[in-house]
Amino acid sequence: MSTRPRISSALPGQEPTFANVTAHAPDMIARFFALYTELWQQGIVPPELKELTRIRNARITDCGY
Amino acid sequence: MSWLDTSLTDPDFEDVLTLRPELKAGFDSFMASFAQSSDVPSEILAFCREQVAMNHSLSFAGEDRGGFVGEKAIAHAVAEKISYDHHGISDEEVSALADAFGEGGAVTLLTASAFYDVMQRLKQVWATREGEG
Repeated sequence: MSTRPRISSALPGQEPTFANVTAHAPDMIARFFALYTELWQQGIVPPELKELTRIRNARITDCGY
Repeated sequence: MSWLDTSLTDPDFEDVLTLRPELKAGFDSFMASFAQSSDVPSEILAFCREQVAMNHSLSFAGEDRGGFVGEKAIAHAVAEKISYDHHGISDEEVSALADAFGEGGAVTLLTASAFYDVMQRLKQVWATREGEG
């Protein structure tokens, strides 16, 4: 288990967050968010069910984020 | 046999993802970004992908694939744990990644390993045959 932030923020002076840590790989994370947006905003699965799935997945994997 | 679409004959990962073309386009673009990164050598990414596949392969279960040195040893430490022991990846192992590949490389390699793992899980859930994916 992580005991401290392991990667610094790519944006000077900011506390590390998912967004600003992954900004160290800007092209990769831009494509990720494009995919994530597609996943959340399109398709036939209701957003409520997607959110329920996301929360359940986070609980199972013990995600503290 | 995959149970997702019976009109597909012996589908592989790509065939099934093509059922959602827009999602496939985004997924392919995202996965390609790892190899296009200049931070992590392509052979290290391929090595991690192979290790993650082995993590999910019953035939390799419990096999010790140690004995690596240098960048491979550093990458192996996280690729071996990402599938079933992600909380077991230590501060020191992530620091070693950042020292070896830079923070951008550490982000890329950890993300790549995590999504190689996603692909393995999807293949098993979709019950697709082995392909290029």
